[in-house]
Amino acid sequence: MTTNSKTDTTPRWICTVCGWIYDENEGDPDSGILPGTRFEDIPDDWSCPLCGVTKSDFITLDEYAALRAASAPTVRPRRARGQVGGSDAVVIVGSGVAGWTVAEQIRARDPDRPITLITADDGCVYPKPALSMAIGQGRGADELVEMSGAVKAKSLNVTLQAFTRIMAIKPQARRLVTPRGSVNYGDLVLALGASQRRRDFGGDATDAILRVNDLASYRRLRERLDGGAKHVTLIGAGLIGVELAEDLRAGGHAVTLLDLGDQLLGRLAPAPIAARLLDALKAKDIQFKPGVSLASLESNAGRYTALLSNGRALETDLVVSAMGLVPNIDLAQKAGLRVNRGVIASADDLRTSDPHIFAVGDCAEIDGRSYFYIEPIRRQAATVAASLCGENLPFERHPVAIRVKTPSLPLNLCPPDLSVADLGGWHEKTAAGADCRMDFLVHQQLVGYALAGSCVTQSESLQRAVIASASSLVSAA
Amino acid sequence: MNRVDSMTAPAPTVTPAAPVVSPGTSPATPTDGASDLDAIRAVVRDTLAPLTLKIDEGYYPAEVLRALGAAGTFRQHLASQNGRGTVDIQAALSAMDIVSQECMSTGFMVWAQDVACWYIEMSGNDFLKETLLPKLACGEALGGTALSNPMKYLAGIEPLLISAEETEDAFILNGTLPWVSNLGADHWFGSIFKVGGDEPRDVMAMVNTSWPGMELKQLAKFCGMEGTGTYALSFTNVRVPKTHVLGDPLLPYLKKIKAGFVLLQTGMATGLIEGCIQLCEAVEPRFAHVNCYLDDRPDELREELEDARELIEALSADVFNPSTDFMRSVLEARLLGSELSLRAANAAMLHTGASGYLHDAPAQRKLREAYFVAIVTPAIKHLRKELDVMAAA
Repeated sequence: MTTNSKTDTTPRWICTVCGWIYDENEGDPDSGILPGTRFEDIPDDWSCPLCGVTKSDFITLDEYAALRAASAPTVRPRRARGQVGGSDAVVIVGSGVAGWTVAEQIRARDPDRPITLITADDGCVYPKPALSMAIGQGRGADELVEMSGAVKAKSLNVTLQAFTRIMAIKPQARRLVTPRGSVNYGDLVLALGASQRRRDFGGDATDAILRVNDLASYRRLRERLDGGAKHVTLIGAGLIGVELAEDLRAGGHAVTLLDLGDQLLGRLAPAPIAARLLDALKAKDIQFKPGVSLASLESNAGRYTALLSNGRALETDLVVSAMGLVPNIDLAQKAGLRVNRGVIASADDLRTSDPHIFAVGDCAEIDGRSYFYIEPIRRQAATVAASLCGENLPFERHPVAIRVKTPSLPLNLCPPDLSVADLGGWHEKTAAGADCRMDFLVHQQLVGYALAGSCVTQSESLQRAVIASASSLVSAA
Repeated sequence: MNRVDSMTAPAPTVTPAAPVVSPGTSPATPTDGASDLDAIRAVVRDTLAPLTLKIDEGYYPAEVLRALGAAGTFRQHLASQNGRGTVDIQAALSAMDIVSQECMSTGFMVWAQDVACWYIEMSGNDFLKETLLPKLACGEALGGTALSNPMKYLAGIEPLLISAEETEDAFILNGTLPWVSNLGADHWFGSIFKVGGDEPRDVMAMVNTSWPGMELKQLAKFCGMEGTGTYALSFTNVRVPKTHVLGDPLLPYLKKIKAGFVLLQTGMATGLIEGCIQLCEAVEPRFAHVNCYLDDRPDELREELEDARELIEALSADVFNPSTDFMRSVLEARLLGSELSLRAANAAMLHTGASGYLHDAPAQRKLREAYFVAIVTPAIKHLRKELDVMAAA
């Protein structure tokens, strides 16, 4: 760090009345005192050019500084250190479920810890799973807001810095750089979230493709759907794809669902369950095109022509891409933290490769896995808060139960952990019409399940069984 | 060379630092950016500093600009002119930083001259590259940029104000542009105009203020930056030969120059902030015991300034990166420059107290300069609008 304090030793004299400084190098030419004139040699009838007092009211600057220093406070007054961040503060980046839950969990443990939450959006609190079920319920973006960021921050005694993106993390200096300036932190919690995967589609309208992953993008979707029934093309038939398809249909829109795979929910559900869901969606007039994706999108007289990978064309009003979530790791990567698909964090305390930086939620990767669901994210937040408050509360890597919000056929899915997925297989336990239960067994132990229709009521007991057997199998594998 | 050191070296007016190259040794080669910076420091100390107050009051310092040009100020970023054969935005920023520490009006004119050169360097116009560019790059010819209105036009803020008719070998321009800077008789500027007729499009060209039909009108009086040669520009059937076209088609050309255009402005901000920090530091012996109750102490501002410089240096090394993420970072860096300038100038006022409130005090001048950083195109509001549009994409 460079400093620019004067290094020359020329005596300087200060007027104790007004603070004007006589520098012997500069003199006081306006009063006829030439540069280089020693203070002692100035005539006694000379007076301060600023306030008119005489030489006797001057002392050297060094004397003056010594006199004043005696009255200085020994530590920087708290008033002057600002409210945002600070070397004693926990700074949380991101205001999704992960970010706010960390703030809640710290506050529950420590009423006094300074907490700052920095977010690129307005920081408002809303239920993210509702984004794929609100159209059918007729709820607009504003109706999903449970609490404004300001109110939430006040309730937790948290400093909220909204509408502020982080430009860089400087782990050595424990500082963040933002467009408003730098922010110091004692400990940093990254709750950066994830983004919908992007692919370069061709065509002049490729910029018009929407991705729904937060309230702002949901608001844009609703704006585009205004004014009557539309035809919507959904790219990707994963969890978000099937939920949005059913929700858009419930809102009166026509839907075509594309996926490169040959079934719905390819990564999550066994084929018999996916086939039952497909029957239910077909009954609602939702089109599914397996083995097909978008090739390019061209504008066409106020609508779009979607050219598909199978050579067909589709006239549509709106294209929504839901090809899966990718953790936001860019900032962490540039800061030199260890990353893989996500920001690598330890299951013990969710610390990253830097001891003062934690990762939580969609952006975090723990033992090779990311957890994009509310329940494990809340447990991760508790783990972070506990370790920041000196407790030990390791994150338990349970298989996750996923409730698929498709009202025409409710599903509850618990896919097997990837580490054991190739050691066993799916077995049909119950099958009666749309109702179905399938178990994933490894060495006769239940490590996953998939439930459709009325069988979803069994999820709680099955989840307990899976958690019990998974702990032994995962550690063995 | 150690760029960070060269940028953070003491202000020439505060500390008459010993030159790195002692007089009497063989002259530095013109390809050495570090020795250029030393020469620029000397011009700032000897030629600019005595005129700073006069410039603030309205004096256009052509002789300072020519001396800065001779010292290499305007050629640093130009691969064809700097002797190093590389686009060195960082060196151009270092030069502008040094000038702006003393006088940001002059720093702003350095930027205007820098971008006028940048327009030609990035164009495919060999005629201008051979004739005009070398003169602009060494300060023999002076000029600026009339791109405030077009930048706002491209961001959807206001319509394009200059229209043109196309002839076989020229464009005939009409319209009026408010406040274009670094102008005078026989100065050059880059202009974007809307072409009508059979092939409607936007085109950019270099125009001379002394061409028939051009008129400079000094209508407004500003609270600062009065010495920057800022005029309303009136065009009446101004014939611009096609030999002076910079960009046609315009958009791909603008994409190429935009990051450099915006990034180059950050040198004004970092220099101004440095100057403000030095003003705060200079009163530490007198006021440290009570200034510690203020926000934004000089040591804290310096950390933030160094963070900003580091970030800008990284962006400068990647100025042709076409990605949206990169442009977002450039706009954010420019925004950071504005926000920090305002805070640093506010801190300079509060730290220096009454002595900063005196009529000729540098602190109050820097306060007015800081508002200029925040409102000159792209202004804070303009940047936030562009960043919002990017966030929604």
